[in-house]
Amino acid sequence: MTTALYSLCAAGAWVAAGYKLSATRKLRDPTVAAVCVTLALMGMVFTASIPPLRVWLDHQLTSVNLGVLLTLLCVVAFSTSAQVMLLLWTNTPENARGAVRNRLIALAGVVVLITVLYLGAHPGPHDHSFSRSSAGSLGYAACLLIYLAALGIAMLAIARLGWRYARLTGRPLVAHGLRLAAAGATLVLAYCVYRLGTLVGSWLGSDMARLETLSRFIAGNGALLIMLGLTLPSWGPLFVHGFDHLRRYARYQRLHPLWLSIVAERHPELVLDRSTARALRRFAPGELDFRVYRRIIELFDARLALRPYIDPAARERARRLTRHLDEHERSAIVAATELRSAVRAERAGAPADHEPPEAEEAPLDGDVVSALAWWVRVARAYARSGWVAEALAASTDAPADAATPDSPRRPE
Amino acid sequence: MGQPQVSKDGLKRRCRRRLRELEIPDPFDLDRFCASLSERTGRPIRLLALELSPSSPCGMWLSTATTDYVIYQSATDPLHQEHIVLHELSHIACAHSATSVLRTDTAERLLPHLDGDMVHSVLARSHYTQDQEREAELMASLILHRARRDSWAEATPARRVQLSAEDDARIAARIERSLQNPVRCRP
Repeated sequence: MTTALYSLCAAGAWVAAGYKLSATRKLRDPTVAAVCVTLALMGMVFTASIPPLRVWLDHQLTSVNLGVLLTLLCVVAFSTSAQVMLLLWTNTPENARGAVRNRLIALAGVVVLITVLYLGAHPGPHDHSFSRSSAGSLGYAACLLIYLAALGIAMLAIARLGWRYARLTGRPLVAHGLRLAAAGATLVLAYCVYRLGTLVGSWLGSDMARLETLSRFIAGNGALLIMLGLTLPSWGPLFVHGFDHLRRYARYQRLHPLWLSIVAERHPELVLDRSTARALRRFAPGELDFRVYRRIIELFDARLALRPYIDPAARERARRLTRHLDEHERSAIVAATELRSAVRAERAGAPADHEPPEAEEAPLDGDVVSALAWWVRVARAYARSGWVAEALAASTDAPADAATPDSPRRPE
Repeated sequence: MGQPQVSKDGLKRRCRRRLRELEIPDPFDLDRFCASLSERTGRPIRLLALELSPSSPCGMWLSTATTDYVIYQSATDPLHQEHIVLHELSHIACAHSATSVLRTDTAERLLPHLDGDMVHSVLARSHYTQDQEREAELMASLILHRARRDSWAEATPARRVQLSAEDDARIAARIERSLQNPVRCRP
């Protein structure tokens, strides 16, 4: 399981780093570069940690276990890079310069220190993990403590900053990304605490190694969450727009019966383009938006053309029946009643009223998205609203006042 | 519905070519578009919102000796109004010729302050069965469709929490900038 999980983490981190790299070339932005380097180092950590690869690395030198040393150094470098990324987020590049330089000097010192301590501890080539026997050596234990401290500090900082700025950013995807990264950092922090526990436990003679697989599972998933979080704001919009596009297509289709009834059948002269394009072509992004736009304009045109045939009594009844509903729903039901009454009158050859009262005002703010949402409501009410049917039925059966129930029945 | 004399694709191509020649403000602004069109024709353009009776067309282009008047239905949604205005402006941009001359009494009813005799020609938006009408309607649709392209993306919601300090705003902006690239907001 560890091989699969760590391979996934390594592949994910490399893909994420490469993906971000395409932006760095263009922007030359140090904050983007820091995100990129952090992801790449994460890729290094997990690549060096994939068990078969680590065993192979371990056996490259006869006297020293190279794989563990490489992992330790990569983790410390990753922790430093994450701290630099946070410094560049929280400071201007000019202000961050000094602190970044200090971190890099500290990293160089720590790299030397770990290497010296590690080589002094002489861990054997077959010692593939941070096992109890390894921790028995003081030099190696010091290496592990430095490694845990560096990782722990970086994860704590990511978690704190992530949770805080997830609330402060106005961009939903950045907020979700920061939350994911913070959650991942919290998991890795839990791994650090566990690792510290096993180290202290080994000194006290206690055995906590049974949780080894679980701890790797937690660390791997924590890292996956961090890389997902750091890249979500980049690739998330593709998914969001894909979802929006599907939703728009569904709404466009929902307008079709209404469009057929009031535009294509009653006022075909208002149709600009009766194209019978295939569904796939209709679904293409630019084409769909244009079609949605045309459909909305033709529906507005037909609404104006039908205005002289509106039955004012039916409209008044619809207004009374729906006065308890919210503005959008109410206006859509009233508009649907107007349209149904007008289509009925026009079809029956009723005389047109040349000075009709204004049609029900739609609570729209002039943009296509709200117009589409409103027309979808109208189309739904036109097809199957109980309120509309009631308002129309009463106009032939009973006086207007008798049609108003004391407690209105909710339509299907 | 009458048959168009120009093929649909041919018309679309012609409209797109005309659009490239026109200066269309980005972001779109109707007043600026009017001003640039007016500069192009050398004639002032005036937009007039009137509550037109249902038997009248919902938009008209009235051409007098000196001025182009665009009259549009006020009793409809703002999006529809903007579209009607653009349809008439497209007639002006395409230099369409009027098919009918407005009767003096109709002109006086619509524009009491205008001398009806001064009105040279009128083009009305009521249906799209003639080539000129189809062309103007398609132009208007293409202009507004392009102009509204960005409005498809959901607006960025307001920050839910008041930022405690200016620093927080800068930090949030830096985080957003570093994480949001490289994919553009719109595919």
